[in-house]
Amino acid sequence: MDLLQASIVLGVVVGIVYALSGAGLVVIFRTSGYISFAQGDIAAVGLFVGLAAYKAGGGYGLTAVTVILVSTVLGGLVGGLITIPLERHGHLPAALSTIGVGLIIGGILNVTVGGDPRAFPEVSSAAAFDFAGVRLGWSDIVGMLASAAIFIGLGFFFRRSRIGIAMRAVNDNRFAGQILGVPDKRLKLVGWIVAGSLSGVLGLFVAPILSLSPVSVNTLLVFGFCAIVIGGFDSIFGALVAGVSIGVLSNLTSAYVDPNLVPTVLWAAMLLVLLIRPNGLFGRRRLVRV
Amino acid sequence: MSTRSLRITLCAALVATTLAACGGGTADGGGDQGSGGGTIKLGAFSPLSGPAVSSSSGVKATEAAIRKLNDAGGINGHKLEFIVKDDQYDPAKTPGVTRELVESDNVAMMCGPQGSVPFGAVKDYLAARKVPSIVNAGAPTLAGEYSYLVSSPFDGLGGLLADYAMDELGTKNIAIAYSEDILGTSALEGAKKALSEVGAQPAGEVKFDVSATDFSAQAIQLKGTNADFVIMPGAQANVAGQLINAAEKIGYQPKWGLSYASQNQTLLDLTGGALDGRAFFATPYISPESAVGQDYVATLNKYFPEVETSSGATIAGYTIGEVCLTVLQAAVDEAGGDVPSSEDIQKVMNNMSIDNDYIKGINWTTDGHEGARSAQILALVDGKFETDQDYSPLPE
Amino acid sequence: MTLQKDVETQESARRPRRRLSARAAASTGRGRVPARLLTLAVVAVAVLAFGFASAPSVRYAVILSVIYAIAILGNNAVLGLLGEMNLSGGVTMALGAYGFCWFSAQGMNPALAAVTAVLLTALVSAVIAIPTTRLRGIFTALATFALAYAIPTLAIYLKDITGGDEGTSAPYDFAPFGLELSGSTWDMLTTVVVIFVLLGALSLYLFNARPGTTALVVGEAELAGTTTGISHRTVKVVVWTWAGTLGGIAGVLYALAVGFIGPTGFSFMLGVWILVGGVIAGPRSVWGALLGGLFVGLLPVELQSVVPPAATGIIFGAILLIALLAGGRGLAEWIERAAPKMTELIRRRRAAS
Repeated sequence: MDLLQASIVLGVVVGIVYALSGAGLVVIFRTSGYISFAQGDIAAVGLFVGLAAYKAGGGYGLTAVTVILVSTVLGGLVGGLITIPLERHGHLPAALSTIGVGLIIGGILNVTVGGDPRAFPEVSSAAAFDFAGVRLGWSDIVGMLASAAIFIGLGFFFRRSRIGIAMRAVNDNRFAGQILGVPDKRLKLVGWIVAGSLSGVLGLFVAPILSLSPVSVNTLLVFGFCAIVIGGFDSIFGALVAGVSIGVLSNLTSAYVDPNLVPTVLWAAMLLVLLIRPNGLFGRRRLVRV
Repeated sequence: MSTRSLRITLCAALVATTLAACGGGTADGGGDQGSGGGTIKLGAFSPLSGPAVSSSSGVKATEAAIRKLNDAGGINGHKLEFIVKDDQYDPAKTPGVTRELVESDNVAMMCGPQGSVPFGAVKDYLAARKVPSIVNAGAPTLAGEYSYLVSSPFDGLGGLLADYAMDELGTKNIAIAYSEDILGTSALEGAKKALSEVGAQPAGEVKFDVSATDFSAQAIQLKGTNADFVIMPGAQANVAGQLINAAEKIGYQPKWGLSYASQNQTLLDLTGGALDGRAFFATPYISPESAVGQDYVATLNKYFPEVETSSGATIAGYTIGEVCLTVLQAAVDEAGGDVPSSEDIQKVMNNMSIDNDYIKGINWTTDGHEGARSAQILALVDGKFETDQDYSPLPE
Repeated sequence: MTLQKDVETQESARRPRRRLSARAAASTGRGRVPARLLTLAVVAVAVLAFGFASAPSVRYAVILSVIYAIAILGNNAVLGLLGEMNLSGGVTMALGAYGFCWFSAQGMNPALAAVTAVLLTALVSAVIAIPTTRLRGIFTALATFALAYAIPTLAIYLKDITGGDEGTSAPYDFAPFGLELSGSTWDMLTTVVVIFVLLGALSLYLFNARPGTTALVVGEAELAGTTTGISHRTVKVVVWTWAGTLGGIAGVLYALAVGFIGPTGFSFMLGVWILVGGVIAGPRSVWGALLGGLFVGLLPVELQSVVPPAATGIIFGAILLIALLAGGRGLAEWIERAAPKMTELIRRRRAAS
C-alpha cells in the first residue's frame, strides 16, 4: 500500500473531525467574539451520560441523541448563566470564565466517574468499501456525511436565515441586532446552544477513536484552534478546509518526519499563515480586539 | 507618606500576619518523631488526581497487600502505616510530597512510589536522606544506591517477546513499534538484539507519539512492513488500543507482543474482542487466573472492590506490596524484633533474593538493584489473561 | 515626530503632577509608588516569615509559589497592560529551565549558565512575539496555547538537549556567595523572594514611568497610540519579551528548586495556571502576583488535606469564577479598595465610642 496515498486519505478522514472541532468554536466566536475553552468538557459530560444510557440498554441511536441533548443543554447553561453575563466586564473575563468552567467540570467528572479511559460505542464497526487502498468503515462514511450536512447547514444558517444574519451582525455591532428586532443576549445564547450540540456531535466521533475519559475530547481542542486560526476566524468553510489540511499535514509529518514533531509543526504552520495572511486563509473581516 | 497609603500598608500587614499565623499552624502539624511505638511507617506517591489518575490503581493494590498483613497481626506485632500522597504525575510536585513523607511523616522506606519521571525527580533526594525505596516503575535507569526495582527491564521483555515469536509462533517476520521514552527504546533494543542473535532483522521499526490523537500514519507504516508479529511492550493500554484499532481499520491484523503495561480491561474494551488469541503479554507478574492469583483477587476485592483485578498495573502494585513485606519481615529480624530503621531495611535489601509465588528472579546485592530477570507470557483467551509460556529467564 | 515629543515633554514638565484619587489608583494600579513598594516589602517579609516558620515540605511549596509569582508578574504585563491572553508562561519557564540545565551540563559555570539561559529565553520570546503580536486579544491565546501544547513532545524530540522523556537533572551543588540554592533550603527561599521583590520594584517603576504609560496607551486604545506616533507593534513585542524574560528567570529558579526537569512538568496547564494566578490576584498589582503564586503553588498542596485530591480542580475553577464575577480585576485590587473603607469604618466606630 502506498504510504503517501494512504496518509492523505486517512488525513482527510480525521481532518473532518478537526474541522468539526473548529466549527463549534467559530459559532461562539461569530456571535460573541471570543473562544470557549470548555467545549471539550461540555462534550465529556454528554458522553458520560450517553455511555450510561448505552450501558442501561439503550441502542446507539438513543445514546447519540442523549449525548447531543445533554451537551446542548449544558452548553446553553454555561453560556447563559456564566459566560454571557460576564461579558459586562469585557470579552477577556468571559473567555477566562470558560477555563474556570472547564476546571470545574473536569474536577466533577474526576470525582464522579474517575479518570480511567473507557471504550465508547461507534455507529458501526463494519467495513463499507475500499478507497485508494484504504478500507473505510461505515462509521467513517456516516461521520463524513454528518459533517458535510453540518457544514452545509451552518453555512446556510449564517448566510440565509434571519437569525443567522442577525448573529453575524451582533458581533460587528450590538445595536444591529436590536435594529433587526432580535435581542443580542438571546442571539448569543443561541450561539452557545448550537456550539454545545456541535461539541456533542464531535464527541460522538472522537470518543470511539480516542476512548472516553474526562480529558479525551479536550485533546482535540488544539486542532480546532489551529483550524480556525488557519482557516480564518469567522469562516465555517475556512474551518473545513483548514481542518482537512491539518489532518493531512499531521499525518505526513508523523509518517515522514517524526511523530513527536506534529504539534510543533502545527504551531509553526499557524504562525506562517498569520505572517502571510493575518486574518487566516479565508477570513475576510479585520479582527476586532476583545 | 499619606494616611491613605498608610492604610493600604496596614491592611497588607494584616494579611501578612494572617499568612504567617497560618504558617505556624501548619508547621505544628508535623506529628510524632521517629518510627517508634511499634509502627513501621511506609510512604508512596501516586497520581491520585490529574490526567494520569487512572494509574493510581497500582498504589491501591500495594495498600491492599499491606492492610491484609496488618489485619493478620502485622510483623512480629508491629503494625504498618502506609501514607500515600498525590503528585499528579507532575515531577515538580513530587519533591514537595516526598519531603513531606520523609521530613514530616518520617517514613522508614518508600514502598511502591509510582512513575519513572516523578521518581527521577526525587531519586537523589531520597539517597541523600538515606531512605530506601522499592520503586513501582519500569525504567532500569532508576536503580541506584537507595532505589530497588521489581519490574523487569524492558529490554529483557522485548527480547523475550521476540524469542517467543520465533520459537513458539514460528515467525521471524517481526516489526517493532515504540515511543521515544525509556520503556519504548529499551524494548526496541532488546528485541533487535534477540533478532540479531539468530541473524534476523526487524521487518520495520515504527515510532509513535503517546499523546497523539491519530495513529493512522503508524498503522499504515506497520502494514507496509507486512510483519506477522508486532512488538510494543512499552505502550499503555489506551495508546496500544488506538494503534491496534487504527491497524485493524486498514485491514492489518498481525499478532501483538505487549506487556503488563497494557494488560487490562481498557485494552479489551477499546479493541472490542478483536484481539482474542492475537495478543501476548510479557510480564514478571502472576496471571490473575492462576492458583495464587485467586488469593490475590480475593484480597483486592476485600479492600478495594472498585479496583480492576485483571490489570497488569494492579498486579504489579500488589506484588510490590508483597515484596515490601518480605523485606520488612527480614528487617525486623535484623533489628532483633524491634521496629527496623531505614538503615536496617537497606542492609537486608542489599543481600536479598526473592523467588516466591508472586515474583521470581530478583537478586539484589550491594551493587545490583535491578528488577526480576524472569518473566512469563500471558495470552488473551476468551477475554482472560492466561499463562501461555511459563516463567523463563530473560535473554541477557 | 520629534517635534511632537518635545511638545509632550514640555507639557508634562509644565503641568503640575496631579495625585490620582484613591479609586483611580486602585482601579488603574498606577500611582502611589512608595506605598505600593512598602506593601510589596511587607507582603514579601510575611511570605519569608511564613516560609521560615513552616516545615520543609511547606517551605518547598512556598518557594515554588514565589517562582510561579515571578512568571505571573511577567505574564501580568501582557494581561494587565495590553489586555491580551498569554498561555505561553510555561513555555518560557521550560526554555529557561532546559537552557540552564543544558548550559551547565556543557561545563559552563552555573551562574553564567543562568544568565545565558535567561538571555536566550528573552531572545526566543522576542522572535516568537513578532508573529504572535500580529494577533489581537483572544487569538494570542490560541497561538500561545498551540505552542504550549507542543512543548512536551518537542522536548522529547530534542532529547539530545533535553534528556527526552526521562528528563535531566539540574546542577545541585550551585552555591553562589555561599548560598545553598536547591530544594527547600532557607537560602533558596530568601533568594527567590529577593529576586521577586527586585523584579516587582522594577516593574512598579517601569509601570509608572514612560514605558508603562506607552504600553497602557497601546493596550487601552491602539488607534490613539498610533496617532501619537508610537509603533504599537514594537511596544507589544517589548512587553511580550519582558514577560518571556521573567518566565526564563522563573524557569532557572524552578530547575534549581526542583533539581530535576522533565517534559511532564511543562504541560500546557502550567501556562493556564500562570494566567489564572494573575487573573485571580489582579493583573495590575505587583504584590497580587505573589498572592497569585501562592494560589498556584501552595493551595493545591494544602487543599489535599482538606478535600480529595481529585476535587482540587473544582475549587480552583470556583475561585477563578468568583474572581471574575467580582469584576475580573482580582483580589489584590479588591483588597486595596476595601482597605481605606475598612479603616474609615474603624475610625468612625472609635469616634462614636
